[in-house]
Amino acid sequence: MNKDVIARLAAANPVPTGEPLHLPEAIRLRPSRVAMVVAIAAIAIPATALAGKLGDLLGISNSGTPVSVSSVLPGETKLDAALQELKVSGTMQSLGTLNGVSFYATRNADGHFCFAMVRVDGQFGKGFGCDLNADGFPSAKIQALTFPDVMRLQGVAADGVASVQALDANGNVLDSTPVENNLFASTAAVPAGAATAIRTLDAAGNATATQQLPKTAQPTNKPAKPGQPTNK
Amino acid sequence: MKRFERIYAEHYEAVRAYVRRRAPDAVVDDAVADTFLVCLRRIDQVPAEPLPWLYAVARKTLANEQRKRARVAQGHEAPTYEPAPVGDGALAAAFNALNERDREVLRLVAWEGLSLADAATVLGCSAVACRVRYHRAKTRLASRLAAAVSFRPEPKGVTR
Repeated sequence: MNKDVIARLAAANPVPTGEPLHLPEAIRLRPSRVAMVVAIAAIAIPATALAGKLGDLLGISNSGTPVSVSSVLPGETKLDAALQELKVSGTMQSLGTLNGVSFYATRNADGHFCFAMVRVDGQFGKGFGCDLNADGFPSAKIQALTFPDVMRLQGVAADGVASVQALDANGNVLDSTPVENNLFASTAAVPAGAATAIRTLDAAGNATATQQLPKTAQPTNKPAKPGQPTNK
Repeated sequence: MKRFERIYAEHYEAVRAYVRRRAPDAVVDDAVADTFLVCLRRIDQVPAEPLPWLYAVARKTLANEQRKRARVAQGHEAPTYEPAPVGDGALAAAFNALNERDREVLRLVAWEGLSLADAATVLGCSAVACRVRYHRAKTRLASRLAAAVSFRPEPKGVTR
């Protein structure tokens, strides 16, 4: 009986482990949370002599202008520490602002492309991530970077990408937005968890790459959960 | 950094599932990010088998989140979130009637599929204590289920 109870409980798992694995494309650290857990002091690093070459290092035409990390996320000084743990130097390249979203990018000491997005109005917060794929951005397979849980089609695109689409599991286009100066920032909301891939297209409308997104929390198509959430 | 990348790639989904089983969607992203940030900071302390260790970090992260919500509630009872077993109402009722210590050790074995030794790592107790806790929790759950099955209220408003 006891053993059956565990088997029965396992069968009632609200998040079954049998779900297909979707490896993440980027590490996402939210500044507001990072500030809570990073205790070490920020170390200011002056603009490096490499700043002028960073455009080449980024691998995209938009080389941006160097800015200190602290200016990327004002008031979030402890984020500097997290960035340094990810081996990001004290400066990033400001790539510009599009539709109210400011974009910043750099490469960390291991050569991974890292980028940050900050909404000017702060409505949707800020995000920072590093692309850890071996054939990382920009490459034939990875032609656009956005955050794994796409709720708005916003990010950085490789040269030659004219537009970016968010696709659902059936390949339907949920949203499409043009790329300007290697940046894209749609103002339309995509339902949480609905986007399973992003597709990049060239100026002629030909698809250049389709990238699967990591699976995120999608509490859909589940049986009703008794008493959830519980307010005790 | 390479080790961290490997750990992240191999265990991101499991950690995310662990958090989703215990927290509302609104805090999942933050809790997972915080867990891996701790992993990154303490990469030298991460054991060879990192998953139970990651679960332990996630557990503490969620506890901190719960305390934070309690502070925000400012004296009011903070809302808690406890995903229940799905698709089995009787089991859910019996499970929810257990105390949190019982529920957590059962979740770790049944939902995360951990051995009792690994569950002990997550819970921060000895393997022996975990084994005792597990067997008692399992017995209590079985007893509550059996009691629920034997309780058959008389139908109301039925003319015999």
